[in-house]
Amino acid sequence: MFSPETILQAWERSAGQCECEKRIHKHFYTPCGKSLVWKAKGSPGQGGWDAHKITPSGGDGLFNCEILCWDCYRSVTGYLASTKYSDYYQGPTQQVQIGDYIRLESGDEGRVTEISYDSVHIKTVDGVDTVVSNSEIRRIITNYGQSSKQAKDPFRFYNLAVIKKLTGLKAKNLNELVDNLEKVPDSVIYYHTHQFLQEHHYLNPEPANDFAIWVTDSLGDNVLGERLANVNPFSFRDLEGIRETLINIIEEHLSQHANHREALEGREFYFIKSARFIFPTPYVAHDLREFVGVLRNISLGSLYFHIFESRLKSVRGLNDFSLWLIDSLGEEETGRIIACLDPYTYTLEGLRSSLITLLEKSIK
Amino acid sequence: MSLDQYAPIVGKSAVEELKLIAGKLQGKVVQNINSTFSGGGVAEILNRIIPLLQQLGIDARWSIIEAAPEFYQVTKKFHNALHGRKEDITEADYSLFINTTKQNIEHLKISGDIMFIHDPQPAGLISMKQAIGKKWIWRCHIDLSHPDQEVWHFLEPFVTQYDAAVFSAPAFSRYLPIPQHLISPSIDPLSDKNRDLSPDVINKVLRKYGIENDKPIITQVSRFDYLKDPVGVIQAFEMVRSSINCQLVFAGGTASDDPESEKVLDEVRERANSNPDIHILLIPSGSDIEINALQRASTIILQKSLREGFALTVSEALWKAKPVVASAVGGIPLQVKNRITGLLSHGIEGTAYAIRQLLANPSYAKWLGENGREHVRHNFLITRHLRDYLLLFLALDHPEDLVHFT
Repeated sequence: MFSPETILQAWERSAGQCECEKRIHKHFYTPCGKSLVWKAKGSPGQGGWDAHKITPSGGDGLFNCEILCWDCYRSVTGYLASTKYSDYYQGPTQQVQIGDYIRLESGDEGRVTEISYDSVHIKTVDGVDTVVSNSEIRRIITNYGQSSKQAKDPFRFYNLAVIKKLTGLKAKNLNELVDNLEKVPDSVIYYHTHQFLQEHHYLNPEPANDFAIWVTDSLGDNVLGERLANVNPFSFRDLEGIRETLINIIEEHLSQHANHREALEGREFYFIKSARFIFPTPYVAHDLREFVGVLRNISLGSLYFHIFESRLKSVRGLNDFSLWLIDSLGEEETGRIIACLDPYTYTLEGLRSSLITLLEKSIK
Repeated sequence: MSLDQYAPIVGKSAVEELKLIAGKLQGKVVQNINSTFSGGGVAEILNRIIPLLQQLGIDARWSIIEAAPEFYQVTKKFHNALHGRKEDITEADYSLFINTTKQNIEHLKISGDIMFIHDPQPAGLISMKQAIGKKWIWRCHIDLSHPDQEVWHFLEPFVTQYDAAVFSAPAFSRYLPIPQHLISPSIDPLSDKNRDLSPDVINKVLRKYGIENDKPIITQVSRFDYLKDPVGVIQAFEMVRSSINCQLVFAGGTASDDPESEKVLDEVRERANSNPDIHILLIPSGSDIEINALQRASTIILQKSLREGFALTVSEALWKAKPVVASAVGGIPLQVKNRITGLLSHGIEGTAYAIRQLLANPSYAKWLGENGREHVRHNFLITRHLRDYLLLFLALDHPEDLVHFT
């Protein structure tokens, strides 16, 4: 962006006349020279003009600033070069306008902020200003067009990263398992009922929680293993509820079946807890189109955080995405559909795809 | 290697995540200390991980302690004893350990925000903490599940002075009054041992060792060591071979510091009894591409160990999408989730049964192998290891279970 001082200096240099010398604007040997009005900066009316970067990557100095009348300015920044012009001047061959949301073959996507004769500026979904040459612009996969409905509040994406901590606690039979389940912190319950989703998120169907697997594989108790596997973390609002249910199932089982089986040495249940770190990412979405663009690019840790983790802290029992869709965009129906998805039955990549498909339908 | 070279393997977003976390640690000086710059798994992982930490803006440094050969004989005995083997350790041995530690404290020129000490040899350097402060981490790469109590009681007062300890598997840890982290080791998908190979390279290696690729190949890659149960591997193979036409490759090396390995090799050769379907291959150390090729040429990979450390050979096999049959010992159950990423067995007959199941059901074997590759991609590659180390460094200043940066 040019500073006000630079624009003023360029204006004085232009003597209030358009400085365009582009042959494609049919200015042969002499500048356009159209008379301009200082107060009409940024205006399409008579005397309208704006300051333009001669070379997109040439910086914000006076030498790279030219004063153009509105016609020339629009023609340069918003022009859609015909095939004939592009043959001569290698201009953008696709229909792009400022404000369009585009997706390129390189995987970059974002909103067009400026167009010049040899390149297009886009602000990518992670907030980076990128200059894309015409040759790259030719490889646009999709131009989604202008902005859809703006959200009341933008959606900022966070990323969840987990490190595992050992508690030193272990159980070799069901009694020890229950004793420890009663006293371990919530972060242990979280680890053994959620972490496997992150570690095995590529599997569909997901394996059961750690307790169910241990009871089946190490104690050989298939009946109890099945009952524990049926504990669906999605149906609970908090970790305390999951803990209570697990304890009740095991205690009930113990009261009906005398289970004295012990795990072999080395196959005991080791209680592990999660230490969770939540980081803000540079990804921010202001509308649904940007939201879908970010969804395509965020880490699985981020997707996991907003879908799984957020439900545990939400008083309404909704994930972050649903809350934003309903409260900030008024997309009540889509928000509710996403809230009803059972994310525990998807792989994380499968969940990402399903969300994108659902939101794309909503945009249409 | 450049960090961005991992993006096509683990995804651009996973590499971005590393940069995001590292953003909270910019300029931190992390001083790694172990006992050698080369040889052994610790040096191998430090050689790979330190340049990547540096690319992420962490000032990671690496120093080694200096000691006479006698010190390493003592620490070798410590190592064996901590693994549960009975060793004759004298008072003079303990004195040598303490004196060498003192000499290193006097002469070692180290500085850093975080002192990252690997394994027992330099563990005594923690005595510097009182004088220089800083955060201290003890990274234990060995299995402490059944340590010789005398040696452990000697080391424990050092370990408990650290700000945190790190173990590779839950069963390897001890009950300690300091925070303990679980960080598994990893493999590097871009190393010679794991990178993709062309069919030409694979066939050339098979030709070199006289292996015809005309029937299923069942392979175990491991040192010639009783704890890898090579004779049990042959017995399991023979049970399978009686009904299914297949061949066995047992590929490994002998260790110069293990006089037993030559004896094991002789025994294995004798047990193989010139069976043309059993290939006993003595592979020189450093032949990473050959090991890679043999794993890639295999139909099934075994790891029928009686005792194990973490057994990264299992991750190597899974990364090549091979169905694995392995014993449920050491770190193997973390890598092989039974019937999901491979098959666990508990004896010779179980191993034979599992091999038969896989040979008879190629689509099931393929499914297990593909799951195994994904399991390794997300949990046992060097990028996950890096992420864990970054979070470990952050956890030193943020000991709570939930940390929300804004």
